[in-house]
Amino acid sequence: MRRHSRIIAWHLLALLLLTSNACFTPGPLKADRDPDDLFAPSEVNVIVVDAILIVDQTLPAVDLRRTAPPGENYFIQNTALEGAQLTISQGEATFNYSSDPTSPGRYLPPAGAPVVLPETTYELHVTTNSDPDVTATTLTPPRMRIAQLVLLDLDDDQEEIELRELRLFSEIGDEVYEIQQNQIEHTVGYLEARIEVSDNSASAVSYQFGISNLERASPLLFDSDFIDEGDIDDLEREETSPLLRLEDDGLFLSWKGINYAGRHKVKVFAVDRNWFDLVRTDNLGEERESGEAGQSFQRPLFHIENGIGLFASASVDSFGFFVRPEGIPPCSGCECWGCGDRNAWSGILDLESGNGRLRYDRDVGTGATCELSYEITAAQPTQACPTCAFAREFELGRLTVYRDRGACDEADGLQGERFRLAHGTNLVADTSGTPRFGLFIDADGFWAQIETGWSLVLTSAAEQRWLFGFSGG
Amino acid sequence: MLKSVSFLALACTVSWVSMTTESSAQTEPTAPAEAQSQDSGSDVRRSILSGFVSGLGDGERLPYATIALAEEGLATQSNSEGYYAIKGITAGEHVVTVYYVGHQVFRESIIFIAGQDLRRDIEMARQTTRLNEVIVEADAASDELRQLTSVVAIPMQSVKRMPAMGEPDLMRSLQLLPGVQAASDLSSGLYVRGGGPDQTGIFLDQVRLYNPSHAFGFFSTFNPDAIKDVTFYKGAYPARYGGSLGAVLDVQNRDGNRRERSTSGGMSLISSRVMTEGPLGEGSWMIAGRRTYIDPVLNLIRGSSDDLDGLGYHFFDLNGKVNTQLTPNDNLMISAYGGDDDLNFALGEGTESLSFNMIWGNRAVTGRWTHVFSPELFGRLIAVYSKYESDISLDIFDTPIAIRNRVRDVTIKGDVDYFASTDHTIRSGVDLTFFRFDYGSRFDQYRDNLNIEPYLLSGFVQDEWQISPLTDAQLGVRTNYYEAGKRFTVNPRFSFSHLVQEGLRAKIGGGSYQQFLQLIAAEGFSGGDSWVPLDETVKPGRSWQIVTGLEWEPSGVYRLSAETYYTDLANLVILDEESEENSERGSSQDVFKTGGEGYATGMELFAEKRGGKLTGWLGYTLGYTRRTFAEVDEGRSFPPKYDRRHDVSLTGIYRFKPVCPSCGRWSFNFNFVYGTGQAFTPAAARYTLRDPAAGDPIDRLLGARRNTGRLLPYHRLDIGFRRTLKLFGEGVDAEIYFQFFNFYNRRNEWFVEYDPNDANTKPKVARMLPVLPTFGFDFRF
Repeated sequence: MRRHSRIIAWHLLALLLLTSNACFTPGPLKADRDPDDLFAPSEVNVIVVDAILIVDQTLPAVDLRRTAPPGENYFIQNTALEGAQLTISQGEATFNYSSDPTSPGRYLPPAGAPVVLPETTYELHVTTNSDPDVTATTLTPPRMRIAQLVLLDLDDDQEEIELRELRLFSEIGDEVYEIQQNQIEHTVGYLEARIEVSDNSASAVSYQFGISNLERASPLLFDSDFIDEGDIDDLEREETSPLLRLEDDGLFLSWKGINYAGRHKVKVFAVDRNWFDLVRTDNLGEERESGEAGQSFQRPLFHIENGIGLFASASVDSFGFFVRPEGIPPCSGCECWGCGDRNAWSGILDLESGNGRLRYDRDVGTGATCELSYEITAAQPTQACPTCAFAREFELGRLTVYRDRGACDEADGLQGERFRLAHGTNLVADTSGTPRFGLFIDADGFWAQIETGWSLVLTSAAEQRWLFGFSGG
Repeated sequence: MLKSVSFLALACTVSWVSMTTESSAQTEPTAPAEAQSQDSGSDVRRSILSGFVSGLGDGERLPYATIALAEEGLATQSNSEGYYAIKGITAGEHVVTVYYVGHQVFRESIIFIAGQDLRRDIEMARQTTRLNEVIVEADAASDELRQLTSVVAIPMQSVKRMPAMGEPDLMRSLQLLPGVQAASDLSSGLYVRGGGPDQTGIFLDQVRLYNPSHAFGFFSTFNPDAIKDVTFYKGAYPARYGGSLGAVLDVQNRDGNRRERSTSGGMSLISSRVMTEGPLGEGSWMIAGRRTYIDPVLNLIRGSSDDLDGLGYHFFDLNGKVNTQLTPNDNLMISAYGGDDDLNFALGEGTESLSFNMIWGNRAVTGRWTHVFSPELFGRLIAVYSKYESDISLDIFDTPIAIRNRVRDVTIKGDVDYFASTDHTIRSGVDLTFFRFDYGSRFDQYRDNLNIEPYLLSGFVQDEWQISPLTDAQLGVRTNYYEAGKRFTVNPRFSFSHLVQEGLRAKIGGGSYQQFLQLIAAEGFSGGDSWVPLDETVKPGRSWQIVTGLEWEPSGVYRLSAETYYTDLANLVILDEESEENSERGSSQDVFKTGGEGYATGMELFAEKRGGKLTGWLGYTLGYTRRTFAEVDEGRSFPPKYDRRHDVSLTGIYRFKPVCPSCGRWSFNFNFVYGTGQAFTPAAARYTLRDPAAGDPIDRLLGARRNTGRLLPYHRLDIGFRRTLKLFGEGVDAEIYFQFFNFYNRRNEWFVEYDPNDANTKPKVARMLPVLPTFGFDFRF
């Protein structure tokens, strides 16, 4: 028995040594490696074409860039391709492009370039000194217009019923945003755009909506507590729909993509094969959840010979409407959520790395708006106020201005300024079970609570994020 | 069925077994009057010996036992119900010898009278383990199976002894065989010889199971206590099976103990299981159940969150079987299986709520009547009802999202085993299956629905032909008529086996195969798997395979084998996730990318030690697999994720000597696996391109050609200790075990994720499971 015990003990000891080896030392038992080893920089310096021809609009500018190594910091300004010879041909006609002196990598059509014709083939040709010629073709879709916009719903038997017809730009112009008929309540019914294609023309390959919320300070239409913290930043006022197939001349506009209240302008694109193939195979926002784990990342279909990118065409029309939050009675403009000069600072900070961003949004109500953000790097822990849980000191870094329509004032001049903010322990709100605490700022050595401020910490397995914000000031 | 050649193959086994086990030879001749006499009337000089082979202790019918009359140079195998028949026996006294792995050799001297057939039901005693005894372990591969290529019989005792993740699991044990892979530590799915999990047909008591997994693929649905026999065809499977492009796993549950009531079971950290069985008149019954107890853990999680209004998960399965011996020649069996997984959680209330419900499971009921029409003609009539359901529903902000899949089938099949002559055994049968598929999804106002109710009529005929004393063949053909698309297919199958010299057998096999159903599954989350039929818009999958093999048994303890395989695949499909969101998926063509082609080829080496204190096997596979779809990577050929160049598995059990006859016995068991890293698509460059509808330029990552990167090699060691015990005096045989999955804690890479929206992203590696210690307890009384 003792011999058995000894054998087992030796086995266990040897195996425990193996285990510790796996835990603490590099070597064949470990499975760690430099993340850069997971890149395969096999397609660096490939020419990237970026051009979309819109039917009945003049030939577009074309952007030419090059691909960059995947494991290195990326700066778009370093990727511009200059000195290329670029032409677009249609039938016998060839249009020679020239470099845009104000924008590296951009090529402009010749003066007097014609408008793009429907159902016509256009060819792109790019020549450089060092690369094989890049070529691509697009067959433009037929002309298309929105004939009707209707609000539909399902009755108790799940049968589709038409609630009302909305007015179009072609009928009343921008009044579409004002009239009661075009005001819809969030998630009540759904919109269908009925499309009319030119006589004797085949339908386009596919369709896609481009959705723009025209407000700058309207509220989210749903409680942001239900959005994964990582996705909050992804909720944009500009969204695109998935590709849609035209069914009985109609296209449904899903509520997905309508995130904020207020005026919405929706462009409907009837797209060509190149656009369709790129978007459907793209990795952006992909939802390829089925199949084998890790297999959703793929190379999109480009249809560019000796290069990558997009040389596509589309027909376009648009419609507009106004969305009011759920449960709000019919209202007008910013009355639906409160008018006046609305502005808000909101910050997000990774408490471990100290990196994050401080964002500023303002809508004066007159059309003057501002959207900008500052980078925060290496925020440091600092002495907090007695009633605070923690505090961080940071400097506002690189400024990015998304939109400046006359309302940024001094908000865009804070780069290099230092701030000390603290997360309070006093509850200021408890929205749907997510407690928000007071936000404190160190003003000349004295901690003071910001009256309109709030602060919360979101904890996940991987990180702790500090979210805070305030309005005014 | 008669195979005199079996003697050569068995010679070493017989002599070895007789050295090491107690023979139960009965040397007193049995008078003809004692045997049930039947007059065949066909041959006045020679006799037929027929009957059932079953276990002495429990009456369990023993499939594929070898029955031999050495002096006559005759031998045969019992069929899947334990029935056998030997023709052409001359008058006089002959010794009948019966072999079955794990049982004592049975010998009986019987006097045959010219022209008089005998019915002799044989009962075999189990081997008893004694001090210093060396027992032949390992596979119950019968001669019949050994004459086929690529077939493995797995004894459940070995499955139970292998270290596992909490629960002994059949599918995870199969993953240790050469040519078989796991997709990940989390998956019990079988990737056989370069094929996906849907290319392996899985049958339980002849019922096809559509999703035999619990806990999102973590465990299989097979309760190890309930299983009697497992036969796994890695390729080139015979004509009596169909519907899969690659492999077949055929599992039979126990019939039940015909002699006495007995109970076995076990408890692990994950679940508890119990199986009880007993006699029922001349027949038997068996019922087995298993349930997880993760629920209390989830209750704790629920209790710690104010938002989480509901969180629940459990799985269970139940197996039941009743056997009635209506007459000595008629047996009626009814079996049932049911198993569900149920997951749900809810957050918030009203329009600002989120709820998720997911339930999936199988139900199956089988009725089987077997009848011995004459000593040489055995027939079965089987009726099967099978149902698989998977329902996923999500309600977010009052927006319903749902995916629903139901597969129901009713099958009637009849087949016969005809022991035609000393050289030929003919098996033939007809199956008629009525399917009802329902696959639907809903997102907000968008709804898809694919309903199809085709029938599949299949027939097969198979001849097991002894060409010469050294050469056997199995020739067969399977025909299918699939109503959807009115497709008629003919699939020939063949297998040849030649005994080159004693213990050395050369084999070749192959055939063509069809698949009419397609699996839509997410590897990381296999709970909501959906099966979708192919309709007239898409050709059914087709493969042809050829396998060659060499098997050498230098003694009864050691076995070495080498196999090469080549599989050509056509008409493959993969889920099309790139069509428009609102596209109607009313046909198979709308659901899948079609017209895929591919191949898988490789070589497998296998060395096995089946006796002594240390038993186990070492396997190596060299494999190449490619797929080509016109719509994937611009039609370029690519390796699928599970293309694995090298794969090594080593598994073993070492039994320590008990110190005294009444002491418990320790054993140490281990698995080691090594495999080339899985293929993945790396990022090849960064670039900027506008989102065409939004117009804004977006920094992106460019994917390289599909699956041109490789993860780090996968390797893992599992170990375990077991000790046998006697509880309550001698009343209960028990075993406790301690196991470590991934003992040296290698965090193997599972997959790589890139954030294509982040210009300066670093790839993230998802890793598989760390070291997992578990313990448990098995019992039997």
